[in-house]
Amino acid sequence: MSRVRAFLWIAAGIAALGLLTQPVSVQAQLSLSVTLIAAMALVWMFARGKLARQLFISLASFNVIRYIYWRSCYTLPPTSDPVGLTLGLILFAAEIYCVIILIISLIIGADPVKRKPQKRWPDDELPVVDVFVPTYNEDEYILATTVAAARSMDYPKNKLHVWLLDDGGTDQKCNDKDPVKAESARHRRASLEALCKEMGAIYQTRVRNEHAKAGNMNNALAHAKGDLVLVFDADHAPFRSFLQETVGYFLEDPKLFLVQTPHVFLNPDPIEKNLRTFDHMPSENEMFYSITQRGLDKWDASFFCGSAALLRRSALAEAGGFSGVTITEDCETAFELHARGWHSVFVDKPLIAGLQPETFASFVGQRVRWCQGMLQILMLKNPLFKKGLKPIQKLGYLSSMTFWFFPFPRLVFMLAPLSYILFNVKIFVSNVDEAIAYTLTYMIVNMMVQNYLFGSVRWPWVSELYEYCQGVFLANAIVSVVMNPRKPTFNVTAKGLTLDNDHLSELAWPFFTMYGLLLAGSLMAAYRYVFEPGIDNLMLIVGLWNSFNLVMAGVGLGAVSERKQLDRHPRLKIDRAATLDVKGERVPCRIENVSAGGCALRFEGDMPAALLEGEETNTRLIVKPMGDMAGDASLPLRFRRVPPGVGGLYGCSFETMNPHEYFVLADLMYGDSDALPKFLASRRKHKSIWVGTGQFLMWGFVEPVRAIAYLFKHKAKAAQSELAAPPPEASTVWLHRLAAQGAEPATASSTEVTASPSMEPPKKPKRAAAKPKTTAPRKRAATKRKSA
Amino acid sequence: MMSLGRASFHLCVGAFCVAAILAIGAPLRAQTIFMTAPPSVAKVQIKGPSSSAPSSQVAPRGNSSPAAKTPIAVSTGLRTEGPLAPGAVLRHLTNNIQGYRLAGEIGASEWPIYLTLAQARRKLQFQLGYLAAVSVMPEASTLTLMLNDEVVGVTQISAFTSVKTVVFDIPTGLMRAGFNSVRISTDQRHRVDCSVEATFELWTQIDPTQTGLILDEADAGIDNLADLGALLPDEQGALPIRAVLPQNAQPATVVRMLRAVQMISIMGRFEQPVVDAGPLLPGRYGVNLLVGPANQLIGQVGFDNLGVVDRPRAVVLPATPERRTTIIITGTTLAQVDEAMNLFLVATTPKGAPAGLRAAAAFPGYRLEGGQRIKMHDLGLVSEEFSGRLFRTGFNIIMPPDFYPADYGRATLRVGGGYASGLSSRAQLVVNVNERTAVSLSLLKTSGEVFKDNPLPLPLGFFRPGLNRVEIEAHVPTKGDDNCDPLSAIDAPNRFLFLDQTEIELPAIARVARIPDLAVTATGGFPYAGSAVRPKLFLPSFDEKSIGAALTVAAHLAIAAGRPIDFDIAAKPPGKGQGPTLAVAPFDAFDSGLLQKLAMPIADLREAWKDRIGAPPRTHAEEILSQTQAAARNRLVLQNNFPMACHAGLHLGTKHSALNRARFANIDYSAVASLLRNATNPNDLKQALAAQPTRDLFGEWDAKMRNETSWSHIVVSWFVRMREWGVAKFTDAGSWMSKSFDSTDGDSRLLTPDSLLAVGQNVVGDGVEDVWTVVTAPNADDLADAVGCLVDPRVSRQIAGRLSVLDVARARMNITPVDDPHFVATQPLSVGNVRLIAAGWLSLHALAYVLGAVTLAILLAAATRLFVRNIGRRAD
Repeated sequence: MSRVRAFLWIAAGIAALGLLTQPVSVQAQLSLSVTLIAAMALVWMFARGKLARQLFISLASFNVIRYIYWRSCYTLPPTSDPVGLTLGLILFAAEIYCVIILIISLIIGADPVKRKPQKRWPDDELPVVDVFVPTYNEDEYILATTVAAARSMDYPKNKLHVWLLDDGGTDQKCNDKDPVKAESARHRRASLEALCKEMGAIYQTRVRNEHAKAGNMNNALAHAKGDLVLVFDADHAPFRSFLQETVGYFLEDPKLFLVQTPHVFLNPDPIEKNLRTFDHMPSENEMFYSITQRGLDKWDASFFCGSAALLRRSALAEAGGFSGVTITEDCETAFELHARGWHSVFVDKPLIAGLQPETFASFVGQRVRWCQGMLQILMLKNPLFKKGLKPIQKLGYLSSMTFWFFPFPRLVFMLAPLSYILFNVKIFVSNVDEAIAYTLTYMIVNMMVQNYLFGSVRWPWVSELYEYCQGVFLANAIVSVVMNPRKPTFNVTAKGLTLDNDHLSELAWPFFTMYGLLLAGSLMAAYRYVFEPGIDNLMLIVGLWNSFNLVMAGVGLGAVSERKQLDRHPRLKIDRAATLDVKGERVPCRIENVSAGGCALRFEGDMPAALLEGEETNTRLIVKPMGDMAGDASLPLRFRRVPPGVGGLYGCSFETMNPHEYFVLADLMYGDSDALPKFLASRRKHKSIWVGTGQFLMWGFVEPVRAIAYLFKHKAKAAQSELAAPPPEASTVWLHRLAAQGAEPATASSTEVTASPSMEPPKKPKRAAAKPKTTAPRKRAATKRKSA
Repeated sequence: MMSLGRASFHLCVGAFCVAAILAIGAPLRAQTIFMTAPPSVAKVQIKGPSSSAPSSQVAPRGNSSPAAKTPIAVSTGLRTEGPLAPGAVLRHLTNNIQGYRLAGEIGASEWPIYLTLAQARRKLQFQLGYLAAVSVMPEASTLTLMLNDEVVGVTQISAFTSVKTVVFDIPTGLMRAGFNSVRISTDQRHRVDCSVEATFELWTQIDPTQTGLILDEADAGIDNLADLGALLPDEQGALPIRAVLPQNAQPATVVRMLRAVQMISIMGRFEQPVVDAGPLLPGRYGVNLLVGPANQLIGQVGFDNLGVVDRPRAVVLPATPERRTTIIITGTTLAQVDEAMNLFLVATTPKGAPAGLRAAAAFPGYRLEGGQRIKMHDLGLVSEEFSGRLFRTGFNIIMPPDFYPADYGRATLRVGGGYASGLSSRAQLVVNVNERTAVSLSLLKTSGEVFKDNPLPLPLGFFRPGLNRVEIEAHVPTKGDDNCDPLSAIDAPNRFLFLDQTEIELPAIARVARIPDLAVTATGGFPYAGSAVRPKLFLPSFDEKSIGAALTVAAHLAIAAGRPIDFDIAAKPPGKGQGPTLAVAPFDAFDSGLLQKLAMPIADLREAWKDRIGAPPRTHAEEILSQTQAAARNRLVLQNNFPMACHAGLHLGTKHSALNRARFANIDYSAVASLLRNATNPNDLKQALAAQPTRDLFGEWDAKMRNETSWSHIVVSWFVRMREWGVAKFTDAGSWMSKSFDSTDGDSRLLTPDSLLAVGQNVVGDGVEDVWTVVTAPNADDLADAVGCLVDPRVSRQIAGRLSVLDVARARMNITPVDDPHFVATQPLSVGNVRLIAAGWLSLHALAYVLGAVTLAILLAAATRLFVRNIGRRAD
């Protein structure tokens, strides 16, 4: 039966290919593409269900096949024009790459899995879980929060062990040649050891910092004895229900090695921050988790993303622990285990909340590592030739790896129109009729597909924007890793950059260069359009294409113009009842949102009089715990008597917390598993092509102005202080703390909550994780030339 | 077979030979027999180059101020007067698709012309009669004659009110026995207007009646079958064949006659034979044809001429005052007569000058099969520098009859050439295929450009089976044209360069015949040629006029097919499965039931022709026109570039201009130019001519471009363009608007008052065997007249669709298209061809294509869903 189905499918495919590679007339093509677009619109509007989705894709693919057929057979420049041919082939290759990625993503995303919630298993059947929290240089309060949240997970306490794996306090670090660094490491080690002791976690460090994160976790594997290993990055705090939602899969399938859950971030990435989209636009990674990983899950090919995942220890043991050949040990590990016949599961339910890089520079640094790591796997352990993988798994891994070549086509599309505008090189042979019948309809179809499939998790043009923003830097990284796959350049992201004022990212100059180039291109196109009117159509089309690139580059300028960060600590929207204890007077209130540094609350009755006495009042917030928390569930709170915000909200900050008070904070923040899905759902509204494009154009006009304003401000400031202070080194935060302690011995480790500008803000010190963004079909424009 | 195969005959003729042998089914004789006098007997006067002033040359007369008349350096417009020596004969040019017109600022046409050895050895002259549009400025306009790629003479264009004839001396040794190339070109400028549009007013019409090689009467004729190509076409370019049939001719006689007509046409490479039946005719042009056993023929041509007939014989009797050149195919018995047909198969390689052979191959068009490329040089085009506003050149190609025209591919014209700086923004290169603009390319560089390979795509849907004309136009106006100084056209700088390295590349084409489709039949003889069942020629009316018309039509099909078609004559309508049928007869000779089956619009035809149907036969066919009438008629025809055969007998009454044939003798020469006169030594001229062609035009232009690309030059030309652009925007918009409103597509009525002939085709049975093609006219006289018009290349190439009706007054076919033709395979089945046919069909039936695609999309979606749902993990 399955053979019959496969045969039917192949037969239908071959028939379609046969029909679509007929060299029919341009008029017939135009009729076809207009009909296809109309049919797609009808399916979109009136049909629901998986068959309708398949029909939509099928109709769209017909148009794409027609375009590619035409493009490859009729539009390449003649050999008599070698320059045009070369550039034309580059553009063609870029388009082909995009189409291949589109096809692969359609295959992988053919039928994304939607899983039912796990049933609740009896406690005695549950396996023992070791929670690994590897850390390198994160702040103590972050670690305390994560450990507290991990310890608070809804699971038999005797089967849950939390390990803090400290690579910042290894013997090697403690004996650093630099006495300041050595002292800092020793201090960190002692402090964290004490913290773990108090919080009931296990502190684990090692002799040497070998093999980075993988080495760190492998070291812990030698000590841990549990059945399952749960990995959290230091800043990834789990919600209470994490294990309840995930462990059951291991009981169902003895050959299961991985349950991965999505990463959700409470703070914006720099692009979201600088374009102010965090609160209403889905994050960049949501497409990867909610579409690609679910798609891969269907084929048993979802993979490990470094954190927020459960792994079977016996499987890891069989493979010799976490793999460490490449700098993306997570994907590599999953890859090896898949090849050994182990299975993986992806649970599309947000169960952790994390932090991500805040500056554009650290964002790019992170992406460079992901990109290089994935390409390392591609080059060193090519999935195509990996024994043991099923073909579809190979395809899945290949797509996740080849995806990272996106910088090249993106840059090609950005620069291609200039070849005609500036140098008169014709790289695309077509007349206007054909351009409309093939290229224009193809672009429309592409937009429709992208919006239909991903519209709820990705606004129009945002994929392109992210690609462009990373493209400039990743292109470099790709070249270096391809040249020498065994020695990827491991850039340590500069940290400690202040975000207390608006400024340009230090990586901004390529974007200004690109903007200038494209602006020149657009002006030149307009100029030539006027002065060489014989080329109306062609120059108009190429000029429009270039102008759209200019808009893109303009938005890119906005993305690298760093806005100052007002909120030090990202907030999570919750709705919890609590009581405020003001000098013995207890007042009921509701907490609307909470962060590591504070919360916003609303009084259910009148504001107690005691709070009116001073500007700031120290109180305690008594939380009604959701989990089984022992003892006093209260937090020290500093209440500021400032005019309340919308809905009578008062912003309060937490005072310095004792280790056990972190459990209260964890319960408050991570107790309600629905908080996160609600937050994500609030952003996942379908963005139509029109509105999205309008928004994008708006940015394109506004953001360059802001960038240029920053540029002049920057210039003015640079003139004032010739020598800017060098950025603090990555691992010197503990040194700062030492200094702070020296200055204020009474209030040790109290500075985080007040967020003094002199202090290291909470950072996302990702080290090496592989989160390939999902593979969105990309639009491309094309130059038209009037018949030769 | 082997002996034939060894002969490297032209491909299509070779194919014909094989086919003819198979068709005729007679054993091949190893020996070819000619009943003609050996060459030495012919009166050949070989005149060496030293021989001064042959009889036909007239002494120069310097009294009409040659200096004033010859502003052009090359021209030697010496006037001569006096009649041509008696006994001279004009060897006319054959008709072609352009119809003797050289329009626009630049125009050229090439003809192959076949000479016998005797003719080629003579000192020859070429007479050119022409009439030009009044807009042509004589000071800047010239007419050039090239023979075998050498310039023989240039003359100033100065005939605006009446036809002027110019006679050029041909250097000895230039013409060869066999094919020679005659190329006439014009370079014309407008008197007062410098706009591109005004160039369309410019034309020079070659008067075919006054144009041709001047031959001595003594060797004007032919005396053997090998020289069939030297038969003299008439002044319209057609070859009149008089089929001399016995009284009460039997169908079998007509069958033989038909075969002989086809043989003569094909072997002699005549594209436009016009057959009439009747007694032996006098005159210089054309040929009398007799076919039959000797005992029947002797009475008609006399015993002396025929000699002893004891075996199959094919005899060529040279022309006499009483009789045209006469070809007799005979034998003692009917079987021997049939065998004598084979004597036409003179398997020799086509001979002639290289240019002549090239011209013959490209005339009336170059045959292309698809998947080929050909350089313009091989199509007779030359590299040219051009200083006017509208450059034009063109060529003809012949697509196979089973070519399926639709936009499933495109031919690529790779243009080599260049343009100078300083052109206006409207400068563009336009390629017209069959009078429709297929592609245009702006010449947009202000600095000018030279290119060797500028590919222009020509959609295949613009082509059609059979003759296609492709014209390359370069519109190269400058800003200076607006402030028009017509005199500046003299010695103007060059604006455009055309290289004969330009080539056309035809992709693989879909090849399948359609039924019914008259275009396929008219261009390839399908399904009559190569039919498995012997095709039938149904002649319900067996009168002379109808037979002549039928023979003309059948010969035309054979020429289109490139091989004889072995028609069987039927007096009764053949039944189903009896073979494809061609029926030629007056309207009332057909059974109306039959016409109904053929889906002919009987009622409409009867209504349109009601005055003519059944009209009594004309008794005296040729009424003599007065000289004034003849001249007026001739001028009218020339001015309108009208196929003469179509016009005759209608607008000027039923008078046939027999005078035309007599006029040549007493023509009043108004101008004779002779290049040789100017050169004291003919060798100097030869050297001068030889020095000309080997220029590297591309290199010259390329170097010039480099010199001109200075910044100041570019800035100035940009400035000029910008100013001009503002103005152009408005006028362009205006003309575009008016164009979109002015969408009258001419008169598209099927039947007009001047409709004189209808050609219909339909399938009455199931297959190719049951195809009927009917050619009919109101009466036998009209049928004969109209068929004469029909076979003019300009008319016959329009035949298409299910029904074609000829409007003789406009020389136009009105077409009823075929709605849903059957496909008939003509090629062995191949994947490539089937795919192209499918693509062609889908292009023409876009709705089916779209619906098919959507259906497939639904199928694919369902299949994918079914497939995907059952593999991998089940989602929910």
